[in-house]
Amino acid sequence: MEVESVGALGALTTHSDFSLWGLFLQADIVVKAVMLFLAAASLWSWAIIFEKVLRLSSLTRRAEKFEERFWSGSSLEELYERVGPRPPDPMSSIFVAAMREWRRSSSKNKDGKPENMAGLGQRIDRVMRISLEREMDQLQSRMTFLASTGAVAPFVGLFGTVWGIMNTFTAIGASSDTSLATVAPGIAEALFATALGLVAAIPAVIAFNSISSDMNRYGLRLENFAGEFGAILSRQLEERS
Amino acid sequence: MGKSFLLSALLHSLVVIFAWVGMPMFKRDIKDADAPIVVELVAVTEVTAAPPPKPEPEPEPAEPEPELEPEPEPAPAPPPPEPERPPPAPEPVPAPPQDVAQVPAPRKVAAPPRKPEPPKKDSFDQLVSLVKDLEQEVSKRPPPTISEPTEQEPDERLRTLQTADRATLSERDAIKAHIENCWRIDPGKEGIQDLTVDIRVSIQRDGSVRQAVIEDTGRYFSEPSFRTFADSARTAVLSCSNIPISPQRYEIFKEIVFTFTPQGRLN
Repeated sequence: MEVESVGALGALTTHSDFSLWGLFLQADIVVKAVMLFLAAASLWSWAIIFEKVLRLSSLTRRAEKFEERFWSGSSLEELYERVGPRPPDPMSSIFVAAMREWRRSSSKNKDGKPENMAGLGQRIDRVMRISLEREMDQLQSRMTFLASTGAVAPFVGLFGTVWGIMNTFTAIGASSDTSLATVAPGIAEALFATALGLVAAIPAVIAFNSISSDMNRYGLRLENFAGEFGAILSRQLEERS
Repeated sequence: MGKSFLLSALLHSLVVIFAWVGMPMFKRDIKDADAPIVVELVAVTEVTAAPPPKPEPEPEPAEPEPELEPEPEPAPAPPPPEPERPPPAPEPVPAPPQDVAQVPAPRKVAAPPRKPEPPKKDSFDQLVSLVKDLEQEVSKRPPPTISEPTEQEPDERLRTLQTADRATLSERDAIKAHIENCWRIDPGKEGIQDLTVDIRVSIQRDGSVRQAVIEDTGRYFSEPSFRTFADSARTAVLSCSNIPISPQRYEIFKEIVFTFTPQGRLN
């Protein structure tokens, strides 16, 4: 133990390499693991951030295009044929789900009883809601990782720092040399872990906040669309009955 | 997901490359932190130490080997120091007292009054307490330092002065530390642990060294290793200037004998 700590101290005092790679190499195995974990967390959270931002912007673009077409005055049947059975975005998939239900029911009972028509309206609403929820759920997947990275990464980094500083103090105790040259490299190395934790956490928190607010806005837009579309369908049902 | 993961990896590798190469704006010159700062280290105890309160032990430093024959004549003379100690086992054991005597060896003046007790009692407890007493007594005095002057003349003069003047014993320590700093010793020299040289230093009023005389001239001419050692010490003294000597006490310090020993440099 003593030999080990003296060796650690020797490492601390001999190379004072303050580059990032040098700081990483000098670190203890636990601190190294913490740093690797934080780097991986940062990598993955940035991947999620890119994915969500790109997806949201493309979805917003598509939703605008779809709404433009929807309100352009062309008939719903024609629009349904054009979108096809595999809708590319949540808004058109809600539309397709509602239209499918509408067609299926209207082709089944041609007689048009009023109570069946009321049931059809409820069914369409339910189908649209389920489709919306499924789409939103898929959209919001992996957001938990961003949230927990933002919350936990500073603590993990802090753990690495505390561990590194503990090692430094052990080395100081073993050598009973308290000069700044002895203390500083170990502390710099330990603080590097906290820096990594913050580097991982800050973008994650910012991105989580902005992406989730964007998602809420998009979800509200989908809900509004579903409500409007449901109103149109029920008006048509009333006209038909 | 794959595309965005690639984007993320690209971003991270960019950051790592920037960190590795080092952007010019983040480059700081750490080198200038190494600029040497000259600090003169003066042990506080040496500077502020007052001389030992009782000047009696000094008069007889002439007997240099009292620890080797503890019994003979001091035994009857100084029993008063510790009369309260009961001497339970009177059988004399010569070995422990000699060990005890070795502890205060550097302080020879402290030894004579102590000698009588060890033969009287030999139980281990009393031996321990005796050692403690000795240690306390030794620790009360200023610790013996490497270039303690062996000459008694300044001491004599010091003793005749007032208490405030005697406290300026530390001034001699300052001079000593100053000269020590001038001395460059080669610690790898063979047999250097055993070499000591006394040099009589005459200081002028402006703090320069007027003269440095090696005391042991016989050995100087007969022993080459001693000669090089003594020469190095003498050169050190002669190369020293601005010796911190106060004008008021110039008379006391104008001629001092320093004992140069390599001990302080070797550990």
